Amino acid sequence: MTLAVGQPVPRALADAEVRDPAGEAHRLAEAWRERDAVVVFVRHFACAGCAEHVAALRPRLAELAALGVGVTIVGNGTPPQLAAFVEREQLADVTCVTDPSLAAYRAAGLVRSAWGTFGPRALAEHVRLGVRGYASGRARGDHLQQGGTLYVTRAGALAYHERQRRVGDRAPVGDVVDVALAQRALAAEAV
Amino acid sequence: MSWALHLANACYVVSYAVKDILWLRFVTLFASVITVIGVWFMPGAPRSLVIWQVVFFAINLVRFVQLVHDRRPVRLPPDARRLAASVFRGLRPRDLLRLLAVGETREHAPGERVIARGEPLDHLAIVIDGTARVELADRRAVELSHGAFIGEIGYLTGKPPAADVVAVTALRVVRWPCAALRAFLASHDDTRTALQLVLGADLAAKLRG
Repeated sequence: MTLAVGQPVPRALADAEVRDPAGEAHRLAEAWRERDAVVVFVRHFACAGCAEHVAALRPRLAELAALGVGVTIVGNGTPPQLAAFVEREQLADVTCVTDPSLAAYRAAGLVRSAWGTFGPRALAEHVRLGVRGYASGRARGDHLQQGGTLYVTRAGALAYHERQRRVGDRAPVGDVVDVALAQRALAAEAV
Repeated sequence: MSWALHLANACYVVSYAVKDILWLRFVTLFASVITVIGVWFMPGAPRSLVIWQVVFFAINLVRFVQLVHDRRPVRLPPDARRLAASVFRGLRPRDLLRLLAVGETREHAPGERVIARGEPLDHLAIVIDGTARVELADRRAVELSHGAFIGEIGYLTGKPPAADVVAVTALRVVRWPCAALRAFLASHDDTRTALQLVLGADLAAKLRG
């Protein structure tokens, strides 16, 4: 089961069961059922790097929406921890779900690593994030799990795949918008 | 010359207290000069102190000049002013000038082919003056005028253009080589964001027909 850009996403990823803040179960594939989707996997709900990632993403949400792209954020704590994350990060208008089993993370080929959480570069990232005002709290989810970003087209094909190796890694939002623009360009050309 | 060192340290205190980085550097530059004078005339003072102060002064001076340069008001030439008003509204004037400097202005005579269907395209262009016509394979034609992009689909997807573009009137464009533009945008995040917004709006308009 491998992920390759241009290929359909694996069945295990599409079928992975995630939960919304109310605890209701959904298939992850619902994210790209009606339109292209950027699926952002965060580490855990108190992760400083993830808060920085969300802060970078937030100003571009309207632009992505205008391009016909939805954003789904996936974490791995409990549904109540997800609800608190949604409130804290002001993500009421973004689809946020949680995957406590980590099945979606595994299917997305994401890294789970102690080195990525506590290694020297990760510790340096904690310092950088702290200086920028993003402090990690007690883990709300799996603190060894690293995140990543996927762009899945409405047809279920993978158009972008980024795997974080350590705390503080994140896909440049500009790269994700470039992928969205390229998808729109292909659609415009077809028209 | 101990008074000079006291004066210099007083200046350092002031520099630490000010909030504006330009003033901080200015006061520190002044303090460095006073320090050098004080140390130079102090009997028995090691010359290495002077050398280090000169190094600090030089670094500070370069940054100070850069800051002053960056804060100077920008006067946009007429073409840039039109683009700023019509297309790149979210971009700071200095950033727009830097973006335009990556490209070059090209002129096309009426009837001249600007891009050819199926041929690899290595640049993105924007119309400044004149009109161009996009001739699609199914004989439909779309007119492009000031502020419209030419070759944006190729720039975004890497695919050769699916249409010919021909100058209808005398046409003037700014043309960016794709590789140079990508390299520039990689280190200019705000400009990249602004260009993405503009390209997104352009594509949305094309999708709406």
